[in-house]
Amino acid sequence: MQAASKAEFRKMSDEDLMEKFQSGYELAFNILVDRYQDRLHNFLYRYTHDHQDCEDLVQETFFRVFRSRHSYERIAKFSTWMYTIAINLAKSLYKKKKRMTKVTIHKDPDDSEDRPMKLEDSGILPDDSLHEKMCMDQLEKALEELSDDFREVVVLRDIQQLSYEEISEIADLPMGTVKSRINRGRAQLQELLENYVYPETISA
Amino acid sequence: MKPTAFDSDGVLTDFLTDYLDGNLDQAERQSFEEYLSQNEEEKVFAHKAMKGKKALARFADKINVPSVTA
Repeated sequence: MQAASKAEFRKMSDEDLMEKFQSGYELAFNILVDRYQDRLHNFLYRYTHDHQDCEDLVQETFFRVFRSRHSYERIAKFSTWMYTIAINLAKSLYKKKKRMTKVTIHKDPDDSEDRPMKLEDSGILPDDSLHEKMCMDQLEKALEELSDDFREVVVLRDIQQLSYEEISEIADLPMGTVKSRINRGRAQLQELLENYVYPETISA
Repeated sequence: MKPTAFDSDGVLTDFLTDYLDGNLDQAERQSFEEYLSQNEEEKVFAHKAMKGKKALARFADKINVPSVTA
């Protein structure tokens, strides 16, 4: 029975597996891990150029998929959702590393315990401009209003700053469709933003 | 939003993409802008796409991405 289930699970789409996982079948999660761990590692290597970092990020990504399984909704492709988690983690790691400043405090070169220290840069100030906050709120609102097909590729391109090739791979779409949807998504986003500012111009 | 020639012509879509990304050389950009100047709907569409792209670029590192984050 279990063997038959496993074979059946292996034939399922990612999204079906996520549904099974959400219903309590951990086997579905394990199959998703098998399906994606190598691809995810290779994908993340483009960002980190460090295999150890990649391994940590892959592990953390699957941990978050596991932990956040109930926040996944079928409106987004599983691979897009998972890759976005991975990219966000890779970016956070990059920012964290960038914030660290190496300070050498060697006094005794023969002392093996005397290592360079990494100190966090505290000179980053939060931007609390009200105007900027309002613009951001409007932008987030407009993004939420975009159809899923457009939002997915616009987010990957203009926020996650992925290449068209990467987006085509993640979204499993031909390059022409990716470009066309990105352009239309941007134009629709701008139209929504204009409608927030000049609501009387909304066309039927 | 009305359909435009960009929806049915892959070459035009490539041109628009490269135009928005700043990847056209001067001669290509000039001929594409000339095309836009003669095609009002495509011009409006291209300008909206350009503005949308700029709006996103301004806040790319701060925005809270909807529905695809965990």
